[in-house]
Amino acid sequence: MSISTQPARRTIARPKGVLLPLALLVLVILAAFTLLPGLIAPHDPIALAMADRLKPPSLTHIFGTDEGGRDVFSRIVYGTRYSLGVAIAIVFASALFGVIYGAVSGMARQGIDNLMMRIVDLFFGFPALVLALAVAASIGRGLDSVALSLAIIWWPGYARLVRGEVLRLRERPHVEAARALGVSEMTILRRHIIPFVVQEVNVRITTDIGYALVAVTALSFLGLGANSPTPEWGLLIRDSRPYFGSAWWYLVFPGTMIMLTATAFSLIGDALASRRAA
Amino acid sequence: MKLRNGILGLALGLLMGGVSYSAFADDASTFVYADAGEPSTIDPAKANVNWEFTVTRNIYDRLVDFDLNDPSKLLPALATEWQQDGKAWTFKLRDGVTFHDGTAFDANDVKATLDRLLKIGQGQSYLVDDIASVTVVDPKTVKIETKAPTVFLASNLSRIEMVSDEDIAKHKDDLGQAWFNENANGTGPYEFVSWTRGTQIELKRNDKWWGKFPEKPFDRVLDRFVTDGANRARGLEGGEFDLANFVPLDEALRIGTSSGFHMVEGNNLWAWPAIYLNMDLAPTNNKDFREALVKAFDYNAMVQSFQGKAEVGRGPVPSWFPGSPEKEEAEIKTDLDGAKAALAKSGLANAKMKCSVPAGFPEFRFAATVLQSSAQQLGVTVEIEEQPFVEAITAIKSDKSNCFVLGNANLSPSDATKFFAAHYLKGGFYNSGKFFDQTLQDLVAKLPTISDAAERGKLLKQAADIVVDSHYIIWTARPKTVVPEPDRIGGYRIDPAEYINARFWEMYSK
Repeated sequence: MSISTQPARRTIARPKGVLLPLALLVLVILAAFTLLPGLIAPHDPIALAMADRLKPPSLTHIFGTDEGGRDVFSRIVYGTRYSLGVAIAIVFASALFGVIYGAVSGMARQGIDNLMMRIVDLFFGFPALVLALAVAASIGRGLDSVALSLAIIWWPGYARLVRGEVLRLRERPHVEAARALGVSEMTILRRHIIPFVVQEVNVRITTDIGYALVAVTALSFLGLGANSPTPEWGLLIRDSRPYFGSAWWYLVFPGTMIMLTATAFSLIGDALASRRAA
Repeated sequence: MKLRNGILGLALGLLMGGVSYSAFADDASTFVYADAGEPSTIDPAKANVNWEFTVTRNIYDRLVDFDLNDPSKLLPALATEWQQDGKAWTFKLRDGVTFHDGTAFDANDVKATLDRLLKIGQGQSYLVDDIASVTVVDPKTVKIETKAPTVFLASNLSRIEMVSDEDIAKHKDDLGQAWFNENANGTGPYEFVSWTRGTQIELKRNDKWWGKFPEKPFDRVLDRFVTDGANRARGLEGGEFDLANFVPLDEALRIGTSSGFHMVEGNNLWAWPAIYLNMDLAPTNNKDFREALVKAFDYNAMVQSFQGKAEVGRGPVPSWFPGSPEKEEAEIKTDLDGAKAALAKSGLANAKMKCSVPAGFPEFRFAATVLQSSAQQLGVTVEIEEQPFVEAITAIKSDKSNCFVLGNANLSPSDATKFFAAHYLKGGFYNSGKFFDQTLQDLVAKLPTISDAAERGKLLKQAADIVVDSHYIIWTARPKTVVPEPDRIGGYRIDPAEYINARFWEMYSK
């Protein structure tokens, strides 16, 4: 698995046919899972029900059950807020810091800009997931540390993106005009640059949520994330591995949810990018 | 051109891969064993985990063996006769035995082995730490004196592997620890050939062994390190491995009942998993609180998780162990009303506690989940943290955690006091929750000195009662050992005084 921290592509074809509506539908479902899990999940995601241990999909348990007889669908529903919630938090935190960092770097004098960008290069020079693993392992296990470790590796992508945009925009006539009128650099940044940068960042955020989700679940799968019995998706896959030969559903459905979610965010990101390019 | 070369290279690679794979899969003289871990040492004085015993047990011999069908019955091995006279035991040694390097085995090897083992004080040394002295009477006779009379010495020596005094003398600077860590020269059925770090240990059959091999034994053994249970199961099922250690139970039952496999089942000495509660850290330092947890625990969930291949223990010594008092102990079962009453008595309603679980064992994680679920019914919150083994046991020992999950057993085939040594006595390595009871200490010290079995049985029950009444450990289940064996091989037997092991010298191809 690789984590993309590179700037988003500029020219992207708009997803065709039913792909975009399907992606939007997935997003609506995920929102419902996150906001109303109690109404959607048919069973308690935590309570053990040993009589139903490792039961295959049926009308009662549409995604089957796990080794504790817990309904896999209900665990996926409740797990959405952990996996997706953490992914969204990582991306927004990274975007916030990266935007500020990139904007300051872009507006700063060349020496400071150079120094700030070399720091960014340091982060790009190290394999992202390995760095995240090292950070998460050093600060301790748990979803908090996963969020922190991934945010640490994620922000440089935004910093570089925003710095590039700022360098491009600061030479634009409207910015030059504002500068000639004596408007302060901070006001120029706030009023005449950031609003344009935000559109680009929005596209990147949408696409990155999918990547961040995969990264969060990967770290949980590796044992650095959520602790049992939290129904986090990566942990579900980790827990399911000993039973794969006898209970395929336990691994396949959480895996499918991760794939669908990442794909949906990627498609919507592509749609936003193509709309912006148009 | 590049593409063509690439395709050719790929084809060649696949062909070679296929050839090397088939060399293992179809070679009837090679036995491939998927072990759950890589040894940290193959020194028999230090070996302490299952995948280390896999190697030492097959390379070295012991003075006595025991009957797997009746562990109280001892069998001759490197010693052919033995007798006890108070604190003195005399062993007559087998003639004509040689180490793999050709040197003869004699009484000096026994003395050097035991002296070294006790000086190092690791591994299985706790089984024989009551030895006071070892004396060479003549090359074929050795006398062992114990600190106090003990009826269990010969039985416990069935776990102690004999090394060469010449090897110890050659590497005497550190008691030979550096050398024995990664080299081996035994008298046993298999010889050490090589250790490829991270991959495997290779052994070859010792055709000069004094013991008897079955028809069609394996000339070569590859002990592969496959840390993931699912991978071991898949490799066993796919034919890559001839046998695998610690196959997850669901997979073992599925594979063992599938075409081309049969199941080998048996008892073992383990309470697995056993949940240790910290005696020093609140809230588990409160006896009534511990009682509430023990009574609230859903034992039925554990038995069901083992798909019925388990029972619930009644104490530290399993019922099939020689002299076990377990049948006289009260049944341990879920009693929610009793749990609520005990919790009320403790005054610790809505308490919170943390449980450290060694990662990599689904049963451990599940037992902790059952504890969490059971405690929740009392309003008690259990936070579970999976950690590497050393971190997990350190967490409870350093009072950063209230509970720790592990197995509870010993490796002596008939000395019940050894159930207590590592787990319940002061200083015992697995006594992670720091249990201490002076009466228990005294009882365990006295038990081996009593030659009358009935009297020993009475004292053993007293010792078991002390542990049960303390509510220090939740014995969640006693699962059976279930091993799926391919129909193409035979000879696997379960050692009831262990959880699982591989005795390569008994295995054969059909």
